[in-house]
Amino acid sequence: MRPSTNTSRPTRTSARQARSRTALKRTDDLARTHYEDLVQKLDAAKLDIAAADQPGAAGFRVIDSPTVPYRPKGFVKLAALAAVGGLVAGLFLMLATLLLLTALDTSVRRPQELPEELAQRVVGSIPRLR
Amino acid sequence: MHQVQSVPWHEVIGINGQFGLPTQVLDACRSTSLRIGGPRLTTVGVTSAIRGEGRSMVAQALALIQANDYRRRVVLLELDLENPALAEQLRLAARPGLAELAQGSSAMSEVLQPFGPRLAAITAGASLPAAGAGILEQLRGGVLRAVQQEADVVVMDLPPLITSPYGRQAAQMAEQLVMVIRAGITPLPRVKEAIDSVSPAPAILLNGVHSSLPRWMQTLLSV
Repeated sequence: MRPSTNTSRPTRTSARQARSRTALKRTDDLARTHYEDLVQKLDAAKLDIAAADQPGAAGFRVIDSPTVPYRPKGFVKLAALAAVGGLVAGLFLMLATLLLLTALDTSVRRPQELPEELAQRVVGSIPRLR
Repeated sequence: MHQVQSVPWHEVIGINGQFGLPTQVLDACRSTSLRIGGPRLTTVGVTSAIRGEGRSMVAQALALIQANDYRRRVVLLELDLENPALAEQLRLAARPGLAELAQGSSAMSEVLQPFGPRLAAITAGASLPAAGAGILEQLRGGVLRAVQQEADVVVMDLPPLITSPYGRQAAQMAEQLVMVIRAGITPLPRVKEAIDSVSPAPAILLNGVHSSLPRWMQTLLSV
């Protein structure tokens, strides 16, 4: 029964080697596939860089995308300026209205404001009562 | 005229309070009354250019001054038929009044309402504004003379000259006319228009002329 033992040893060895070869080949295939993917990504990135380096229709390229600020720059200063400006404008408006109303007011307030021919006819005046 | 019992002067002051006439108004109207004739007045009319100038107040003050200062019998006659207010102001009966007297439906004794010593009033009565011109015709036709016979002086509370359709017509019935101008309210063109509309030109009484500024500021500004 010894010879049979001798013949089965190489057979087992070759089977192990075959399995090992198969595993190595699978690993090799995976590595190649991964390499090809990386090469493709590298090509795509190179293309993107090349496209980004090209100037746009307006003659410039965007390096950093703009962001919308969440409040105006110098908000407190602007608010203070607006408040002071509004106050001054309101004061001028009030004065202008006052002058206009005074200019348009033709009512008689005192006997001296009457024309001479009418002032001569004033026989009395009643004080303003509070 | 209903003869009211003799009332001492201090009780007459009490009537002033009832009228709601401040002393300043009475003082101003007292000097006005003197300047336009004082005890010689027989028919004085109080008018204005527009409404709300103080006609009724001045008419009441002039009537009171004639009765108190000169001891004359006074009839206060309300001729503002569009906007009668005398009855409410003096707490008198609104009717019968001038309208009923002019139409002949009420006698003189029925329409004369005493409200103080030597003072009586005739209210506008139940007149319609449209009937104003007709009532004025009746007044000219003899009713006014009958009223004058009841008193030494008739003080007429007239309608405004411009804003009333018969204001000028009513003003012509007064021998002496006083026009009240509300200071700071009545525009000068309206004052001129009103004065030009009546002849002879009325005496002018300015109402509410004093400044509300503090005394030191009035001195500083010479107002």
